[in-house]
Amino acid sequence: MSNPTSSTRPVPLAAQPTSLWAGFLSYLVPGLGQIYQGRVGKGLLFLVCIYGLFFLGMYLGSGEVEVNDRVYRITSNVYLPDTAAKNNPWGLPWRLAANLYNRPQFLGQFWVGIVAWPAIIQYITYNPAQESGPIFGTFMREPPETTINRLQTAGDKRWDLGWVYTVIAGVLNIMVIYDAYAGPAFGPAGSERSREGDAKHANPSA
Amino acid sequence: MPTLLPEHVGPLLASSIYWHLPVLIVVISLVYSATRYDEWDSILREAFRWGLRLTVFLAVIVIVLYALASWI
Repeated sequence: MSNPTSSTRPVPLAAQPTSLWAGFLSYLVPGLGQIYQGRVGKGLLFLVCIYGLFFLGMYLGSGEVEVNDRVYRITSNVYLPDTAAKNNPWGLPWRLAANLYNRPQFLGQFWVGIVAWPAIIQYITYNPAQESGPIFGTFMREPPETTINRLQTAGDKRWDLGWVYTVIAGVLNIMVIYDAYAGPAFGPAGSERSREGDAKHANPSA
Repeated sequence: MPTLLPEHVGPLLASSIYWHLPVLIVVISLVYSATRYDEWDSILREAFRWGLRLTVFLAVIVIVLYALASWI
């Protein structure tokens, strides 16, 4: 027997099971949460795209310039400097907040996951009296101010472009984390939300 | 005279930083689209559309800036 109200009743969206664990895995390594959920192809796509962009940015942001027979080298543009004592115009109460204010790029880079952790370890173990950190040496360590100045005046603009790429990679991974946590915006294959998305494709103005 | 050491970049890449832009467009389009869909055909279709939009948007900016630089 047909139900006369069935054609007008709104179809409820399929409930998406959320997974904090998958979200955390995708924070650690982009796409790992999706791989854990069995969405291997998509996980690998995220892994290749985000790591590709992040490491390209790091490559562009590292290098050396020679000025007056002296070589100035920078190993990475992913770092968090301890500059709160020099610059804290808002009088931020926490040292970390002031340091992030001085280098907001790291707020984006952080989300790329475990590959940004050396910068955190370098920040925690930073000792201005030493030229390198205890575990990672100069990798992802705050470079001397003179080196940054030399690179910006004697190098080209690749150095600046490099950190933009690393920040975009980190911010993109926030969407990947959410995808692992709650599924894609239009739902998994075959779901109502997925069909809704396909219908939107077919008729974008709807 | 300050110089960049040549072993870090090839001559083609050294010529312009804009050679790296296509990488950015492809990655943003693919990742954004893959967070909206699970099916590969939908992902690729949406990625193509976003790639096209980004390219057109950047091209318009290039044309406007070129025009401003040429005539003003």
